[in-house]
Amino acid sequence: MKKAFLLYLFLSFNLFAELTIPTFNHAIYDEAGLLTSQEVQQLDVIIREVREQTKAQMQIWITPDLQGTSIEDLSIKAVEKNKLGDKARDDGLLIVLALKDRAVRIEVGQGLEGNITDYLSHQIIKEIFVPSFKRKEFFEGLAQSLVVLAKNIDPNFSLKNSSYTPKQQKKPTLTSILFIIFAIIIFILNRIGPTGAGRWHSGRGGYYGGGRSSSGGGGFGGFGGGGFSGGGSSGNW
Amino acid sequence: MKNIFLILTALLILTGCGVQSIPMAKNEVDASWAEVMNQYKRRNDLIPNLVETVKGYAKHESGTLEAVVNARAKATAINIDPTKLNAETMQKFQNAQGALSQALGKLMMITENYPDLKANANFQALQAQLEGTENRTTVARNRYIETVKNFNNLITVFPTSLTNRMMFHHEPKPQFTISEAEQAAPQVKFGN
Repeated sequence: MKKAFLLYLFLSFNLFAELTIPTFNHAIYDEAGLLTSQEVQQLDVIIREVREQTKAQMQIWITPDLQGTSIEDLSIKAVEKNKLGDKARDDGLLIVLALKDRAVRIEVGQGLEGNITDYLSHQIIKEIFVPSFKRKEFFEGLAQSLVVLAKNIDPNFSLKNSSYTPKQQKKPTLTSILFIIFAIIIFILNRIGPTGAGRWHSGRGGYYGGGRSSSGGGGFGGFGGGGFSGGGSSGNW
Repeated sequence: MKNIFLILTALLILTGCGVQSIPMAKNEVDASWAEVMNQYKRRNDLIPNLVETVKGYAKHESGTLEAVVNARAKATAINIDPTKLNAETMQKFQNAQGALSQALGKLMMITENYPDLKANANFQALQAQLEGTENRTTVARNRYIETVKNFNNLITVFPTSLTNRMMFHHEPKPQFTISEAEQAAPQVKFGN
């Protein structure tokens, strides 16, 4: 009996040691430092608007990898720990991205399952996340999905405070092609030219710049919900 | 006065001994079992629609379709009330659901050969729902496993085991085991 108990203790300890699930202190919890601080702020404005107009609590979690488990497992543990949403309405929603594994999941609280069906989650992943994440346009994909999700909870939803406008997928125009050719020429000249030509190096690239943001601020919190039963959808980009 | 004091101490000791926690844990088990049944029922409810949709495109696969229909009928027939939950009924339930998982897995595999079916919006919706349901059953099962672990610990580990022996006489609840049928079942996943 004692042995069994010790074994149980050992096993349960191992279970806890297996996964590290963060406590979300910000609506955009970017562990991987994927988004710039402006992007985080813009998403935060959208999430607040969603909260104000639909009452639903949306959370984004960007994690470096899956820690050896499935994205479904990681995601359900995260919502169980953080109890997203309102206790009575169960209207939490989590979007998880695991960068190295290129996996994404939308976890939908029970109270939202009627509006955000598994099929809708699947479509958002297929039609918004996969194409935009493939282009490394993470902010764009996330912002677009938030608007689509909010519109499905409340058809009257519209962004009022946010400056975000969905990017138009334009076909490359002649000017942009010329610009790219110009840029390539400059790049080659820069490479083969004298070493003093470093002035062509521009600033840092957009993504992977910002660190983890925790500006906090009002509007975040109100946990105590829970009520997730595994609804939603997953995919890979 | 002294009597009241005695009763109070007795109550205090008893509350730490499972008088409260055992019934609470049992309720948790019953609730989590109901959720397991509920999510499997959700899967059963999806199947007729799925079978109809596949039939429209894959007429030559009547054998596979029939296997799904039969396995579903068997799985639907097994409805276990929490009070009748024991190792034997649990095994029956698992076998039936496992067989259905396997039949469904086969069906989803053959749909790969029908591009028109895969392009059908209705089919895609069903596939997404089915995938969601598989995940829901996993979540429900994991929660059941947790609550049963807690309940079984209470009724078998000292000191709450004493209270159980004196007052409740509960038997340990059965756990899920991964059945062979399920191990062999190919997962329903979307191809990109």
